[in-house]
Amino acid sequence: MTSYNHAHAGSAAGFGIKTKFLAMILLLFALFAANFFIMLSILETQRQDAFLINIAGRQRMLSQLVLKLVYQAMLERHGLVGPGPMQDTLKEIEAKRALFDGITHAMINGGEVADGLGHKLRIKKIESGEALSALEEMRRRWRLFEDILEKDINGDAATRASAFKRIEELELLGHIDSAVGILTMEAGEKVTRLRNVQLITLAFGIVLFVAVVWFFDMLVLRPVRSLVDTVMAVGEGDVGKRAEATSRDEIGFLTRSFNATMDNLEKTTVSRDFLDHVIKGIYESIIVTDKHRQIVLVNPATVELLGNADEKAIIGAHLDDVAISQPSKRNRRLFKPQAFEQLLDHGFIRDYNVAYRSEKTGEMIPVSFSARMLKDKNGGFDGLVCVARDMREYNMIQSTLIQSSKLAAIGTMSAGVAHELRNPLTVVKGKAQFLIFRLQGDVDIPREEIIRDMEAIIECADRMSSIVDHLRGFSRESKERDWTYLSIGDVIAHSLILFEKRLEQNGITLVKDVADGLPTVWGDRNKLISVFHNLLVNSFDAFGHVTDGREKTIRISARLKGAEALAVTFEDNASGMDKDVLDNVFTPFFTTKDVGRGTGLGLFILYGIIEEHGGNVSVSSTPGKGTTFTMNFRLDRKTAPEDGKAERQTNGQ
Amino acid sequence: MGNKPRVLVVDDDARITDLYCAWLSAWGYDATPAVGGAAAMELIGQGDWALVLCDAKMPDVSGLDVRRSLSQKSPDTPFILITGCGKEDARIAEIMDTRIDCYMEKPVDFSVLRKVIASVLKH
Repeated sequence: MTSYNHAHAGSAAGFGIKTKFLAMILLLFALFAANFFIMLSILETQRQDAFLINIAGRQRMLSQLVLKLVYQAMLERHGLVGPGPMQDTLKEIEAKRALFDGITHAMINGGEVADGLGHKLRIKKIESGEALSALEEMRRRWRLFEDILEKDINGDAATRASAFKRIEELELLGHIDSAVGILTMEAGEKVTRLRNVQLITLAFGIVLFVAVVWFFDMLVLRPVRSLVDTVMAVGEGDVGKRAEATSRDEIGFLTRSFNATMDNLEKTTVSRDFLDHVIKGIYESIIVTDKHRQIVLVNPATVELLGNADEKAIIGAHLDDVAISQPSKRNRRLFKPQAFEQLLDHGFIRDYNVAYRSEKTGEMIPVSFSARMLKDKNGGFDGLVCVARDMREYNMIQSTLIQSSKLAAIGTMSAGVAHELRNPLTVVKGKAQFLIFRLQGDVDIPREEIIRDMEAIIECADRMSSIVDHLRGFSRESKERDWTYLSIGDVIAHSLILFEKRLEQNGITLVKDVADGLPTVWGDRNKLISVFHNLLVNSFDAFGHVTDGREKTIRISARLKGAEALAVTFEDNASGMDKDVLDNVFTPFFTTKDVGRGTGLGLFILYGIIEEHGGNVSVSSTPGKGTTFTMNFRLDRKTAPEDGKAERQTNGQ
Repeated sequence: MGNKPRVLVVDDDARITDLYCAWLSAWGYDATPAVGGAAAMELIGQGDWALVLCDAKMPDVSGLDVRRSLSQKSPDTPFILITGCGKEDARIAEIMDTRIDCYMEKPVDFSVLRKVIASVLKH
């Protein structure tokens, strides 16, 4: 915001565009006016000079006329020519002489003179030295000529002859010619000089005009062009580009405001480049689709995960062709109606266990899949942003953890198992020894009695081998081929086999409440059995803290929850947990048991197993009252009805 | 048959009590089975016993509880504890200062048991 303030401050002190425009117009106008007046004055001078030349020509004619008239008057006086009245000629001479004098006077001193024809001639004073002196010389000779005319022209013949001689000696015409010539020449030179001035003025005017226009361009148009260029560059994506703010007028203010706005925008919003880098830098796979779930954008992590060379093979594919829901091998579509409904309801789904299918290698890559809905302006569905985490390593670690937790559980169970085995062993050994004892004696033993004893021995051996089978099944590592359709009731029943004796010994009543005709669940039998083992072991430990002699009860129930889930609850009325423990029950390596007894992994692994089965698990507990675990298994609509077929296959019975 | 020593055999598993009884009869004892601790307590109250042979862990009443009940009625009656879980129960008995003449682990070797019974009854 500081830059905005700065821009405001700048505008106050500067000259506005309006001022600059006015200045330019005034300058151009002044230039034009100056040129105009210079031209006018030059034209006027030229006109006057031309007039002077004209007047000079007239004087010459006048002088010739006067001389001619003088000679005519001479000839008339002596009757040599026509009978014309001499008086008229004299008058004519006088008039022409006066006109000549007047004009000459005007030429030397300036002023107006009548031309004898009713016009007034305004004659400019001649200032130049040479023409003036030639003119003055001419006037002097003219005056001498007039003197001669006054005094001697009416004299005797000799006088007249000398007068004519002196008139000729005056060389009047020659001097008049000379004066007119100088005058004409000078006027001509002046015209030439003025033409040069005119040209220079014009050239100077053009130069000034160009300069004014150039300054205007520099001060006003160039910053505008620079700003326009910058705006266009920013518009094309070069968001780091800034205009140079040179002037302090409105354009400068606009430029600085624009720069400040762009700086702020860069600070507060992120550019496409920046986002691009962020998406490319994310380690987890990102897929963005349009509203038809067609892939429009992927990051390099996705390309790498799917084993493609570049993103071209993935862009345009349908999301359902890449993301396949787990764990069924039937290539079920990811967006089963209910999952998609959930996505539309909540706007997102989180941590779904699905697989990404690599088009190239055909490998099914287990991923933890989350998606969020993109909305258009009206809030409608416009696409998806999907984030997927590669779960291969995690699954490997988890299966290792499950395995080690099983080993730990075997340690816990061994006491119970030992007891389970010792009773039938006692029977086997005792019956066998008793038979030998009796056969060695002389007493006759009935055949049926021997058979009955032997059958008891076989029954005990069967029981022991079934216990051993369960132990083996429990400790075996889970494989993909172990997945099958399971009856939850059977799973619960099998889980209890190893624990029946311990339940009895600890005085715990077990209530099994499994509804009839439940659909099957797609799962791994041994993993689910280990879930119940885990819960049973925890309950036993919790009952160990109960000293008030209450009736100890564990209740396992299974029933449908709506049409899409199967809810299994495991409930005891043992010591329960306080809030701190409850918050951490699923945290790995969190345990309340003594060192060496609990691994802190049991419920963490349980959580993973339920998730893996597309379910969820929740726990509630009241300290001193008991604990309830609730596991919801999602049911596929295509789930086979409970016919026990799959079950029998895995049992091999 | 009145001179035969009366032995009470206690276990929660009927197959085990039957087995003990068969052996004890063969050895010349008057054996009476009691399936479960509660049944044993009842039989202890009903008569005099030369010996009590009892399982340690039973769901209703434990072997040590049977011993305590016997101590109140006739403290001198010998008591043999049979355990399924190794020596742990015997150790608890020692800690609790309960008189146990002998303990044996399952699976019981009956030739050993015969000598143990004979030895206990001689005292």
